Amino acid sequence: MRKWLILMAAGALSVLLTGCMGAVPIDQRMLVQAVGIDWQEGQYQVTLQIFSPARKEGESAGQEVCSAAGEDLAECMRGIRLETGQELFLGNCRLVILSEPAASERTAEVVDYLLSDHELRPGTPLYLTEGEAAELLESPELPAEQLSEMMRSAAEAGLCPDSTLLTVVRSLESLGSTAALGRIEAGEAGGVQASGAVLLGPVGTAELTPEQWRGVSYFSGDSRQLEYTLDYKGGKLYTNIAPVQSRLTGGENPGELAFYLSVECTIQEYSGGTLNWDSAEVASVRAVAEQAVRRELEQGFAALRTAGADVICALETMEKFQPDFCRGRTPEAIFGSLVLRPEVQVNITALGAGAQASA
Amino acid sequence: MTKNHIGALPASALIFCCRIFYLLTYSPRGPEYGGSASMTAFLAAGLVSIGLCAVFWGLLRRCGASGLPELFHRQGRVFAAFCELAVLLVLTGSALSTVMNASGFLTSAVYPGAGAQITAAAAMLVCAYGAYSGIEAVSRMALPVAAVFVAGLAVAAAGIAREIQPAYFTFAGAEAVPQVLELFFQALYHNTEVLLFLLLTDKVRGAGTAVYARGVLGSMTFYQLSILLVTVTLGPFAYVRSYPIYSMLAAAELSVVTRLDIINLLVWILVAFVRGAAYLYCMVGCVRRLAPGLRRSHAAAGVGLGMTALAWYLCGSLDRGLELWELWSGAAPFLLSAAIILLSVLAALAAGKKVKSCENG
Repeated sequence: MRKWLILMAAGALSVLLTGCMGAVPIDQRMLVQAVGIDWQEGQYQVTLQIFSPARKEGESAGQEVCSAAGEDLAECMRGIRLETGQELFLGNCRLVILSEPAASERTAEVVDYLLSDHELRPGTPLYLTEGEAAELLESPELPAEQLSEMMRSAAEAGLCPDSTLLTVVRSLESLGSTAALGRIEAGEAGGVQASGAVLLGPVGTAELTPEQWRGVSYFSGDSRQLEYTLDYKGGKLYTNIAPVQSRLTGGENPGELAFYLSVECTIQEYSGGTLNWDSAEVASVRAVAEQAVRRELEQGFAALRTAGADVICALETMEKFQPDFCRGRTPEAIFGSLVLRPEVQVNITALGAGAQASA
Repeated sequence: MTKNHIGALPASALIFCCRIFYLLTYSPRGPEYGGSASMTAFLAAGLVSIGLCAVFWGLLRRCGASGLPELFHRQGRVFAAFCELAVLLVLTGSALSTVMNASGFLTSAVYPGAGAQITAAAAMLVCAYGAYSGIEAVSRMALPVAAVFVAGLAVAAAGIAREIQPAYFTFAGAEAVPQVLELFFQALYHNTEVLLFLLLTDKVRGAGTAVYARGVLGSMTFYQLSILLVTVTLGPFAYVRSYPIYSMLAAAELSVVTRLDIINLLVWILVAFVRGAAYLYCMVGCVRRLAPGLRRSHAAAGVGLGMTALAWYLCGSLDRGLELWELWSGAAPFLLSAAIILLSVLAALAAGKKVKSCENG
């Protein structure tokens, strides 16, 4: 008898305390795939690309777009909920796109709102666009999944940062108070163009070229393999370069930032004929590769310094290693006066099948 | 002689789980309190608590006692009742802060808008049932809970490794001494586990400082690792979050299991249960010593229902809960615990005689 009473009590607790009472059936949820936030004339416009299982004429298969305007983001989301009669679910959101005015003029408000939603993952990709975010998301040729994959491929190729809500917020809270974001623009042929940009606060953003961004990406310790084409002895040397180890420290002299980078290089092809792959040739190629990587590092750092955007934690590094240099100086003055001393070590690990050796 | 019910390893695991409870809601208030300042403070507080346990245990052994309750009765019933009531006060505060902290986290970070009262009341009832099941069951559960925590942290570290930025970790210099001291004393004051351990020593096989020390050293190790991980992955983002460890786990993703904040949630619930049940078990023991004629089941039911009602009342409004938290996050519980232990030792030494130890049942 006692056992049955306990079992009944356990069953009652299981039913009453599982939290099913407030459950929302899946067909009453809007599965948001992408969020676009624009800021124009003192108003927000939020555009959501949502997953729709039923096809409708004139819209992408499986996508619907809805938008609302309002004075704050909560009002916009509320407007969408009222219009559609469905609950929003942001747990499956693949990317968030901010227009430049929204990102630069309303940074704190936008970021705080995105962080306040516990369903939205901190690892959600966050990108910038010069035009309107709504335009990008309303395009039937660019579903969220495709946009997300394109930007991820661009980031893996080193053309833009792999910016997420976490990396942007973390960077904004750092001493530099700037953040690097991937910039996404609609291309003429229906695709997208990816590049990198740094957020400078209310003054706007500064664009980095893909080459400059690739130089900057080395500082993040990202170990992605990058394709490098080197000019060598009148021909082209096609290589893959993968960072292995990196270390950012204070330099020997005040105001110097020392960066040590070790990369592994695999030689794929040489278009200028055949080479005698002896130790001298390998050393020669190594020197060329080191020079190329160092040049990109310096160009990337120079671009950041010109823009006044510390997205590589240089200020934190200087505070740690050269606190006397930082004392009494503003972050802008410190970053603007830094001198980079890169040390690049290239380790050629393999010759690809196309690297022909002479007899 | 009271039968020993718990092995040394489960006892250490119990202490471990009780100690890591506050880690899961660790929150550096600012850069000067984060990173190495927190690590230094928590390490020092842990080592000091081991020292305190060694001293108190040595004093107990000098009195010829195998546990703290035995000392209470050496100066008569009135003194014993006074000590038991003081212990009951400390245990009540610790049990309430455990359940309310857990409820606050669940209804703030994980399920915003969920009912805090029903969550706290349900949690307290479950802990009461755990206490009724006996300290052996609770301590045996602590072992797998500790293992889940360790495994969960390892998986989370793998999932967040790509976000590590060593630049965010700086060593606290001399200018951080006031913050380190503040954190040190806060961590020391949170420690009512010395009292808990001394109340349970007559239930532990091979009880001694080593059992407590193993639990504390283990928890301290994971405090260091967790704080380091939060510091180098979230960086300054950690200072603007109420639950940065939870935020870190939400950002940690592995392709197979995606978000890892579910690990935080799972470990948190299990740890809160172990800690709450351990404190409630000791409360039942206190009540039975105050009222020796009371049956164990009745004492457990009374304590469980009473604490559930108290949790329900305190969670009814944020103000009431915060008042308790502000009182309990100060020096009161620690100083009261130390006072009880020292007073009873002095009284026992003054009594200068051994008496039969009371049955705890």
